[in-house]
Amino acid sequence: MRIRLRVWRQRGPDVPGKFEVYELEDVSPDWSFLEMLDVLNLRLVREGKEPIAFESDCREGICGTCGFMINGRAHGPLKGTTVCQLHMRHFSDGETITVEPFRARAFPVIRDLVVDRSALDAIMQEGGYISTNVGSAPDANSIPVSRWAASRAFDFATCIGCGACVAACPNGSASLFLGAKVSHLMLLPQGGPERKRRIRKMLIAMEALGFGGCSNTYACEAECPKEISVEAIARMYREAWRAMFSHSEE
Amino acid sequence: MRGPGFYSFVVYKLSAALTGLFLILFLVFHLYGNFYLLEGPMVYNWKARELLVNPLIRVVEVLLVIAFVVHIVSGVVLTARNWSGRGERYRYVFWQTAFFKRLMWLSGAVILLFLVVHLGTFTVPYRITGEVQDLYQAVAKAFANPWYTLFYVLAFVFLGFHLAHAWESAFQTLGVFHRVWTPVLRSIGYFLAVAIPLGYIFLALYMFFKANPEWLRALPFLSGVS
Ligand code: SF4
Ligand code: FES
Repeated sequence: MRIRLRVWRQRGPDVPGKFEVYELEDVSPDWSFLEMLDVLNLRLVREGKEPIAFESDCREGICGTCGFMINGRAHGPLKGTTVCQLHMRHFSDGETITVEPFRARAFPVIRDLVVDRSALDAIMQEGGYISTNVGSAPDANSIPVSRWAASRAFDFATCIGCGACVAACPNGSASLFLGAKVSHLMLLPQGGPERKRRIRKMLIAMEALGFGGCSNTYACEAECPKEISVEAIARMYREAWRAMFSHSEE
Repeated sequence: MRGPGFYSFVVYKLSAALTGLFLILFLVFHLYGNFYLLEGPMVYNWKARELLVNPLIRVVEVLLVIAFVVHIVSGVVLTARNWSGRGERYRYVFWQTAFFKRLMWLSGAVILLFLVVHLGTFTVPYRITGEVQDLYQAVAKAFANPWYTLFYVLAFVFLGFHLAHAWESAFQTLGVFHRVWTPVLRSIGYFLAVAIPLGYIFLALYMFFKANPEWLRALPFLSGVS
């Protein structure tokens, strides 16, 4: 396959970036998008040029490290797929592909396609945890969890924190991420005791970190590689109302 | 971590959703009132007068002013916040969702402009200054003007786009999400987004063609009808 890549090159956070065009001749349809970039980077290094900076870790779609925009879409055009799991067979021969970093106020560009997503971690530090005393392992059935609750909680727990929802959102909002984390914890008994504090602190953190708010366009749901439903966002609001209009028992 | 305020974003969302739903209710009642135009000047003016002297209307008017102000303020604040969250713009633009879902600020602004014009032509002269006594006559005069009618029709097209997103969005903001009811609500929303503007536009065109029958005869499919 022949591929013409337009890649966003930016040397640092405060320098202006621009597109650089690369022609690739023998692209195998079995390569993943990242493998294609690896090959291109080898070539660039051999030519004595600066390789393209991008992030990846597991390369099997489960860690959330990879991610950038391909033709304006977070993780590329394929539904429910991270960019490390997107293969070149989904593009056509001779295609021009535009690659850009995730863009949002809370995600400043570090270099090329690498953005700083630590703001998502900062939200998690505010309430994305449970507090419990540790000791010997409790009996498996001492905390009953219905099968339904377990599987719903798991649906939301599949969020890998990649930030594609923020990148796709016209407001750079982390609502789908936040909703997924909150929903995952609230559906399980372990998440119960800190419910109100959690939603309050996480929402305040999201605003303070420069994320926008949700305007219910659902662009996030369409781009999420784990296909998290916007039900997570409805649940986020529900948690907020609940915390707002009831006494705190914490 | 200290933020701009306790849940401020969620509070604005709730305000916009609740006032928005109230304003949709108002739109339906206003449209119902407008349909008296079909009954002619006597009935219409009488009905309008009847409404004006109804003590309950005082309460509704106050609520309406509050709803409009709260809705507009929260809309402006949310739009400004959301724009600031987006950061640098994409060079390769792909709009993942329908344009009217992303352009609520635009349809909102057009509706606000319309609201100002509408208050200036009808509400203030009739309700407050009392310059206009014969409301039917004032309506007929305004819609005799093709430009006014065109502006009115366009404003209601924008209202349709606003409603198409607003209804579903309001329920999502209230935390309503259900396997069965959410799709039903969505359909109701799209129905309202078409039906409400269509009703207003129908009456606007009715008044326009009533005042300008020669335009009606100029319509190709009606040529020959006298
Ligand atoms: S909700 Fe989806 S898009 Fe957003 S961070 Fe989680 S996995 Fe990524
Ligand atoms: S590298 Fe881990 S999800 Fe893509």
